[in-house]
Amino acid sequence: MKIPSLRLDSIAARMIIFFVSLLVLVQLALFVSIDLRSDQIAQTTVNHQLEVGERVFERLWAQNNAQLEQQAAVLAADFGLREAIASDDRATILSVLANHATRVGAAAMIAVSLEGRVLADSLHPAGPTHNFEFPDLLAPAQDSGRAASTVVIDGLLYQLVVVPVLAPEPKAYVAIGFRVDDAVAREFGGLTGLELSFLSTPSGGERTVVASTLASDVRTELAKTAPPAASAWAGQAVTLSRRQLETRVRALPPVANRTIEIVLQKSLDEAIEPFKLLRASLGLLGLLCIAATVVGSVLIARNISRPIRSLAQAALRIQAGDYASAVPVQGRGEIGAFAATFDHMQEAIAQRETEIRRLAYQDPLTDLPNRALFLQVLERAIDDCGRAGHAFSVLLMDLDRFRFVNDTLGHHAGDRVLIEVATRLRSTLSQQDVLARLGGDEFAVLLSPQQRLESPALAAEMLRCLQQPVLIDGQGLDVGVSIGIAHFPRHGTDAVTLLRRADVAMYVAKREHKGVEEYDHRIDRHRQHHLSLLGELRQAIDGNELTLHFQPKIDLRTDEINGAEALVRWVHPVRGSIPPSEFIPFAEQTGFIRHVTRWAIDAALAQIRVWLTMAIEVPVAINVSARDLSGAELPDLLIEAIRRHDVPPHLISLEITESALMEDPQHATRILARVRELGIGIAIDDYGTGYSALSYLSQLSVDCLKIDRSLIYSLRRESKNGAIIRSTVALAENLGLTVVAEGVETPDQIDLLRQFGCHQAQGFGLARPMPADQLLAWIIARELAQHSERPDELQIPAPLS
Amino acid sequence: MRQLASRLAFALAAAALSCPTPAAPALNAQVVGPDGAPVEDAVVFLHPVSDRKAAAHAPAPASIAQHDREFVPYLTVVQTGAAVTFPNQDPIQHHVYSFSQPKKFEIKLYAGDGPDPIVFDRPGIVTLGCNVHDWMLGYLFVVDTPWFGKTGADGRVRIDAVGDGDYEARVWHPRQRVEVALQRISLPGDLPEPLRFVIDVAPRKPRYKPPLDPLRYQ
Repeated sequence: MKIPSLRLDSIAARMIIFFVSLLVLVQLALFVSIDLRSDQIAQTTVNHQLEVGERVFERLWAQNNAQLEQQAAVLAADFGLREAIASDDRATILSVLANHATRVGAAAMIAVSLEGRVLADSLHPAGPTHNFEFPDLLAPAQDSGRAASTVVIDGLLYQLVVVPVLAPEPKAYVAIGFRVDDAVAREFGGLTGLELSFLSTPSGGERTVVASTLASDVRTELAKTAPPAASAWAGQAVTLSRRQLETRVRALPPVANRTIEIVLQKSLDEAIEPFKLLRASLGLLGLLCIAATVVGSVLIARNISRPIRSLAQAALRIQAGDYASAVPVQGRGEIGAFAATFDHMQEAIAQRETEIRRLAYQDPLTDLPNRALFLQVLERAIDDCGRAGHAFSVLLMDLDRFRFVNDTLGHHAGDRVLIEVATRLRSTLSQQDVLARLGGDEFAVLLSPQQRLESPALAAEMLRCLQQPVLIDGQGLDVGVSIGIAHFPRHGTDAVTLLRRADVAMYVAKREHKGVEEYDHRIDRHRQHHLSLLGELRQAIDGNELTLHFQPKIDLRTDEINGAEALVRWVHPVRGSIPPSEFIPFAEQTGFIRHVTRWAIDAALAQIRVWLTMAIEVPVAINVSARDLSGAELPDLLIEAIRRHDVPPHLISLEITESALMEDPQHATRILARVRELGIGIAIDDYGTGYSALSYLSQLSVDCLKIDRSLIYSLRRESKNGAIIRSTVALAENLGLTVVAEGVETPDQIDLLRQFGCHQAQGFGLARPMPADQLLAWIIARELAQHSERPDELQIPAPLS
Repeated sequence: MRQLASRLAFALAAAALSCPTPAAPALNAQVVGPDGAPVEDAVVFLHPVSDRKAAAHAPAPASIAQHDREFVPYLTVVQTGAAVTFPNQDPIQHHVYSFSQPKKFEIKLYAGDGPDPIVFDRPGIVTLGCNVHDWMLGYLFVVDTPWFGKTGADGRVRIDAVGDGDYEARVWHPRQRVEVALQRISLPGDLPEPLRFVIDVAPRKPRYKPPLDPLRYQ
């Protein structure tokens, strides 16, 4: 594992900085307070120890001296000694002195005459007779039986006790010297716990240390550094060999011009030593603490920051949309809980996003991809196949008469139909193919490249699979479909173009009842033309570019004119005359047809009014599209136009295609019923192309059937069409409907229709559509011809070029 | 009481012994301190100035007892050649000794009268001590003249049977600080006053004497 580098803003760094600073502060405070107090405590302790030690020393020293004096006194009273002294024999005296010195452990014994002459000296057995060195001691010895002093003999320190030798009167003195050497100093030092030094200073001489517990080099230093009056040292700290010694001095009464000082010392350093140790151990402890804090902080911080970092990484991953990897849950506690929560959050987000994605890209009804997803897939396919040089196909389809299912059986049934259709379509496709519901009853298929060549066959397969009626509540419904096919890259290299062209193909398939149609550039060019025209159509209405032409309808029994069908003509200022087939269908698709219809009604009624003012009644039929029926404004529109132009309603009739009626039959029925109530006639246009039952049509307030030109075109006496027309006429008559044949072109057709009992006829064979003034002329001319009773010479006016 | 009585008895005996011829005149002397106070235990003794011998007098013996762990009397004066006994009257033994020049001797631990008397044949001061009782101190003053005496508590002394003639009178005291000059006297002179000596004497220093343990010693 990589140890994370410590950045200053990282948790570890902050923890370390905080804790280490805290620790250092505490340590410093501790150190300073210990430092401040330790010297003081040490000083106090040392002073106290020194004080106690000094008292102990004094007591010991006095006791020791008393003991020595006692010993000396006892020794002096010894009869043998008295006898020896009395003998006046120096050699004897010396030997006795030596003997008795060993008895009491004395280092020196000196016999002194009452006059102060040395009789014998154990230290100087052969020395010449001289005066006793310490005569001052003799008188006190005489007076109080003993006298003691601390003296220096030959540079060595002695505790000298002088006692008279009584025989039984004082006969002489004996001075008994006990060595005060380093051993004694050490003994006293050990008992008092002090450093002990004896300084000897002869008057005017150099001070020497005669006995001490100190090391030899230190005592030299002591002798050198001591001030002239060593008592000036009292209560001071003296530095010897870098040791601080708290010092007290006791000066003994000078003997033989020599001062003996006892220096009592206690090392301050020793007292401070424990504090130094304490400080050292505290320092060590502090360092250990700091180290432990650093390590601990790093560990804790890592335990915090590592999960946080991995959580942050997880968050980045989630942000990027990766919900697959689980969030690493490390450790327990808050972070662990947080990570677990985070993980749950990720799952929830993933779930919601899946749901959102599903809602965004999937059709909830059929579970098929929706338009958005299909577009994505399509675009991806375009990218992939474009690079690979592959081709594929897009199929677009919608259901025929789906609106009818929805309206008659309800949306629930419609949904079930859609589901069934989706299932069936899916079953015809391979896994690689994409089936999508683009909306409503519109489906799309993206055929994988391998399937492209088979696309027409596959489309046929799709059609077949839908031939089987869909069972809804036990009722079989026929569901037809129109399929448009566009190929990539031949028909387009972008999704929009491909879909639009498939749509165009589908439209053609639907319009021409072909079931399946592949896109052809020709249709689309046509269509492009129309689309651009459509844009100009608005201008056309406002700019009076539209005109009405009228095609007369002839009563086949009376040869009289029954009326005329108003046909919209567009005289484009640039393109010239544009036939209705070029813009009406697309106006219907876009809904713009309503404006056209509104204009046509207005123009037609105005024309009727013109003719009425000329005392000529010409019934006019106006074409109405499915769009006009989908709204509810048509009756009101008519009422308003009739009122405005003051035209009798019976001169007006509407022509509606069968397919327009079937798009929303219920609504159309209601609308037409209202129109019919106005007294306006209604004709079914293009009858025979659809599937509508005549019985059904009869329920609508229809009073006229116009047989489609496709039936008339190939009309022969013996043909199937003839039979249809004949039976249609027969049925219509029974239902009280008028039958009009459209597209009549030849006299034979007229004859046949007349034989079939067809009531009226319309077509080039009779009269072409013509402007209103021409129609008037045509009517007048025909009237004239009929009146001349030479109908054979009837001149059919030449169509307008 | 008994001590006083025995002292008196000895004094009388000594007086009796020193009077061979009642016809001879006596000399009265008085010893005082510088302050005029009488000095007890001062020895006054006479030496004739002429070569007339005084040998005719035989030395009288003396006895120094140890009583109640003290030498009694404290000061004894004898003529040279006198025999002195040291009777021990205590129930304990004593070890009497002297390291003085005129006579060095010791009588090791003994009880009762002890051995034969010791003859002191040389003049001088004999300091007496007991080796086992350090506080015991006594003086024996040996003089080479028959005319001597020691002062009493009143500082007076009477020396009898002193013949006519010129004499040198001397005084000595065991604790004298300085030697006093001799006085020349003529007998029988008209001495209106007793012979007067002034002597500076140190006071007697008391020595520590442990109390006698009655259970052990009596």
